[in-house]
Amino acid sequence: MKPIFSMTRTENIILDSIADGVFTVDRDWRITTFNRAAEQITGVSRGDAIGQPCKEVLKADICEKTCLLRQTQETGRPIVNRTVRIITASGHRIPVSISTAILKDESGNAIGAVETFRDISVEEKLRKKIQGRYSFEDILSKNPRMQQLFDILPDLAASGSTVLLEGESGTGKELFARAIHNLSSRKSGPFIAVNCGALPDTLLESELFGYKAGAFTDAKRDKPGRFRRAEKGTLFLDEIGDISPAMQVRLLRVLQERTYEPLGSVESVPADARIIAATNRRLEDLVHEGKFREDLYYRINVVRLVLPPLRERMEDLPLLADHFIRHMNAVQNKDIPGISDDAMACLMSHEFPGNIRELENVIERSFILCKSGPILPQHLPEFLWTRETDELCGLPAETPTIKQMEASFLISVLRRNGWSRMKTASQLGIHKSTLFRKIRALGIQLPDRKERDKPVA
Amino acid sequence: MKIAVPFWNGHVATVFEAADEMVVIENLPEGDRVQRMEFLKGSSPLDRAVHLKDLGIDVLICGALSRSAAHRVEAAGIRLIPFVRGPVEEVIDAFREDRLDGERYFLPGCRAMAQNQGKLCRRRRNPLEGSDS
Repeated sequence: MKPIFSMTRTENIILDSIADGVFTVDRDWRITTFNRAAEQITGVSRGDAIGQPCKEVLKADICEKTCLLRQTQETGRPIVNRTVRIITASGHRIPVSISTAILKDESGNAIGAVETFRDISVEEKLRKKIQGRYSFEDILSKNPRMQQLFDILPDLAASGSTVLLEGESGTGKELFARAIHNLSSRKSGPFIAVNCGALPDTLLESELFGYKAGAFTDAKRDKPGRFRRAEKGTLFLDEIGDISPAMQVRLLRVLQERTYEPLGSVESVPADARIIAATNRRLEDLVHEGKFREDLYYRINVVRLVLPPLRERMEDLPLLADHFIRHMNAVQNKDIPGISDDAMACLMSHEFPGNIRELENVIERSFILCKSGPILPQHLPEFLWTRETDELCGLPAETPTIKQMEASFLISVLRRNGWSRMKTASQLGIHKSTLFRKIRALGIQLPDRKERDKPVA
Repeated sequence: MKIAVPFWNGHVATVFEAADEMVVIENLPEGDRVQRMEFLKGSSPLDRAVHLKDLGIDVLICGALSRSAAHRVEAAGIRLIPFVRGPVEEVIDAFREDRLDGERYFLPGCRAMAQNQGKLCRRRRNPLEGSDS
């Protein structure tokens, strides 16, 4: 085949001395040069590669549908550091970072394209290792309170005790329940989840305990309940705080006697399932208000874990945002490299009442608007651009005074620490009396003692 | 016997993991051939292997695939002929005529791996003429 340009010996030596894989293609996408690093990364020799279609040599997962060289040729724009996966000649699937550019002759006419690629397996392994330090099962966090929960989770899982998970909506209660199940001796059994708050009483009863044929008009045959389906496994009862008093009595009986009766049955069936209950309300308060039975509360509350809301573990926000971006990139076959500093500032200044679920939704939404490059403030939902936060997001706003900025900063740190001045002073590295003085000088109003003393965990 | 060939634009798809569609060829006992298209379900190698098994596939002729995907396909009891390239019809004919071991049908530099992984060289007879359909 006719080469698109001839390489001198010196040029070949230079090309072979480069650590990145480099190959060039002609206008028919056939390989014309192939350096030594390219041979090493792909496992294909130069002799085998020259003259072959580049997709058959590189074997990247995007070659056929979204060829980067073709994109570069069509748009005229180079592509830099796009991560794709290739399959080597020995059958290893490895991540590589690819860059592309057009090759032109002396007259400026396109005569082909050049692609450079770098094996990033080591970087990916290191990144996973670093992330591994902050992850437990599928839960990501470097927050000290979450790390404490991670520490006790294996022992808790092994104990087999009933667990109560308390936390606001979207804090990951089901992820924790699954982690406990996966770490327990029941891991080979089923994990069955029921949202108790989503079902009316009668339906919940038949869902949990099942029914016998003829128990009611439409019961043509026996139907096993969730207790039966969770046998030798774990039954996750979500939104337990929302069940009716009548249902509370039935559940209490099951927990006490470890048996239940399906609807329409006269025989008791043993309940061999570990119970993990969860609620986004404070069950203790419901007990005080007379809305939740005290005896059931104590049955469930053998071990209680309180999951902190996202606003109290904001140091996890970059970690979680990065996780969701990588997940969305994989699902939507995109290559969004990350989130800009301005957009991150927008997120950091938001309270996230919907917690991690809300963050996930925000990232998913930003993927619709962000076609390439990092996520910018304008890709985020508008409610994150409020006047209170827009100066943080790099958007024009009235310039606050130093005093206002200091007050705003102190309030956010106090809030993150559950209004504990001791913890806030410790986190800021200042003496508590200095903090008290600043609070007074800046006129910061703390919530009343009852609100302040409410445990945040 | 049912043979599946993941494809793209009429050619064997270069990467099995990235393919969306496949041609399934079934040899009927009376000698007729039935050919149809199927979508490859699942994104993980395990899901894909399970899907192939559910479809009753006996032989998978495909482009490049990772070792983990190859192990899962073979563990599902499916005979694997990997790292194959070329127009689908031509590849199927070559397979029927027992001449799929030619250099031109393999991705560059991958013939040895294909023969090792897919145990191609162990074939002794034309599988489409066999009685195990």
